[in-house]
Amino acid sequence: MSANELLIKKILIIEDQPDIRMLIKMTLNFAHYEIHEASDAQMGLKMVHVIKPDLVLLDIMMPRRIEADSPDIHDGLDLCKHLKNDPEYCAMPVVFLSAKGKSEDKQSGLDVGANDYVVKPFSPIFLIELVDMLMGKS
Amino acid sequence: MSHRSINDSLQSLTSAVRHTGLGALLSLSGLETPAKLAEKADSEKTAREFDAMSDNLKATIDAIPDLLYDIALDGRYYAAHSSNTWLLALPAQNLVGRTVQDVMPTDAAIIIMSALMQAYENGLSQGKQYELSLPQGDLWFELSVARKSTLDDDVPRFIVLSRDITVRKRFERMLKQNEEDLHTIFALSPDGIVVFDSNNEISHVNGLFCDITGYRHQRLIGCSELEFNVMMQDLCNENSQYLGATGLPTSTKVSAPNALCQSYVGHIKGSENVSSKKADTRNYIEIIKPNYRILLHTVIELNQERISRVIHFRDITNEAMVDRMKSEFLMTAAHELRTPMTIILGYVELLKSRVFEQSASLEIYDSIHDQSKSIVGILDELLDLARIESLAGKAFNMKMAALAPTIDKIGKRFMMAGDTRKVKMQPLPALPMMFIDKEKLAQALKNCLSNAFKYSSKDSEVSMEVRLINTKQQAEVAIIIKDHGIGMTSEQLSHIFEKFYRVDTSGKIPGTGLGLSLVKEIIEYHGGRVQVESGTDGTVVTLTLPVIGN
Repeated sequence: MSANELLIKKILIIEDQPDIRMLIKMTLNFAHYEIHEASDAQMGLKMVHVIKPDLVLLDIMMPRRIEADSPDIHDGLDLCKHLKNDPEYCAMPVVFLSAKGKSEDKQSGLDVGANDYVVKPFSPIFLIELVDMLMGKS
Repeated sequence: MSHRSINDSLQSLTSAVRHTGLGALLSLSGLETPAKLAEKADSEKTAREFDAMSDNLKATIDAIPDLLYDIALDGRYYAAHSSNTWLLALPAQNLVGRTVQDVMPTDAAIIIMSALMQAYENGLSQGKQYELSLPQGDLWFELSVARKSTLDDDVPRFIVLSRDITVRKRFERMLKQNEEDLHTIFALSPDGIVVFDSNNEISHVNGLFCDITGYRHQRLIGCSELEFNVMMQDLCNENSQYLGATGLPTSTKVSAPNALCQSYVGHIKGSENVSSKKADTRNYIEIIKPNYRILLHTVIELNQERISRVIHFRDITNEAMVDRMKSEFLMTAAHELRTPMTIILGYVELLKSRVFEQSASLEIYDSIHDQSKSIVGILDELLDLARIESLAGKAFNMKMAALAPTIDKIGKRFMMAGDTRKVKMQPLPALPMMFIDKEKLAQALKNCLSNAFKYSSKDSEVSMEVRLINTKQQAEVAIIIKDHGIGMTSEQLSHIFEKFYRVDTSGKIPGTGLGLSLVKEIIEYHGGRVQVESGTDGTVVTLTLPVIGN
């Protein structure tokens, strides 16, 4: 593995809307991050195990997959809670990206252990700065 | 005066009294007749006593406002007296010797005779009423008859008092009418009403309350407040508590048992606390038996002599449900706008901050374009809602027009964002001119096509066909839209025309649930009908329009 590859940080986007995934991908690709995608919470969890990302961007409202392997995980909040309770991943930054913008919603997100909560529509530049900061920390 | 002259005076007085009939009445109080007295009359003192007695009697009789008669069982008048001579059918002296049957109209005579008969059998008859048409108007009289003690006379005789009850009768009639009117209003009220009397027991319930609760009228009347509360509690969900009239807080805040009602509370709140009189306490209750209903429960304290309180139940189930659906719809619409806005804002910011290579920029522009169209779609649906709310009928612009070009255009141009499919069009038959609103029909077609696309996979076909049907009664045009999508169950089919009803509630398929209700309104406004058949192999929507010429 080259030094460059070691430096490239991996970001996993778990979001059901393909157009939003594309937007985020375009945003973060330019900031030299390697982007991986999942379209629901269960698939997202699987991918976490497989690619072991350095940061996860997580939507909250996602449809359930019919063949649910992890029946307790319905949405982004469940997944975040699960990850933060797992010793292997609890240090991994998780950022919520959600259309739910009320203060109660934000609080719920933080309550399950998220590092930050970004409300859609968001500024891509702001997102890059946030991600940079969280990556810089870890 | 000598004994002889007293006697003479008495005798002439007696015959005078007898003439006026007054003499006969003296035996009312069992007084001895003047003749008898005269026999005893040996002294002036007796004569003076006689004078006093007859004066007192005359005063008594004068004080009676009623008509006073002495009538025999065979109907013959022996005496008649009235302080209001105009009430007598005939002057008193003309009555004496004649009979009731002669003097009175048949109907009245029958009643008077039956009163006499009753008094003959029982000693007393009270309450019989008869009507007379006199020059001064229709009058009502009530009889009070007492049997006289029969001394010498072989024909039974009666004292008959006849009271003018016309005014009372009139008021009775008015009261009855009022009662009937109120009863009708009470019975026809679209709301349930329960009235508690001064003993806090139920005195009235109306039919609708019985319908709503399933409790019968007889079961409810006489129930105490406590029993009533128990009965109501029984209808509610075990988790919610029926507080009843006295259990409710007297605060003016309207409480709602659940979120379903809370959205409706807002509308009611504004109308409270307007009057300064003691506030009615209102809240919402939910009953689950016999049917699920949400009722606006208002307690009106009257604390009157006969009514202590009235509880008013207004069925607002429909309104509350529609209100909730409207709120959900608005939230959904607002939420759905966030996604396209996220993308548009995001990409525009990216474009401003850096230079993309050609292929990437084109992709970005496409995405912005698609998302903008998506927003327009959502806004159109919001406008649809506004239109439906504000009397859709007004917005129709009917004209004689050719329908075929409209169908053709829509069919050829229709596409959904993110979907490459086009509508497969069958060749259109020649169609006559029709009295239609082209724009509204175009909207209806778009809504149907939109559903067909949304609920089918991107590799399946959506087709549209038009048929001209000539039946004996009427020519019709049928527009048939077919898809091979996920279809609907019969349960789902039963709801599809309801406003805001969405088959897919997962949020994956965009939509506001208004599309088909709008289609139905438009087609029915044209005098047509909408039929939907659906199964696992797809859905067929048929819009049938009558050909209405000019």
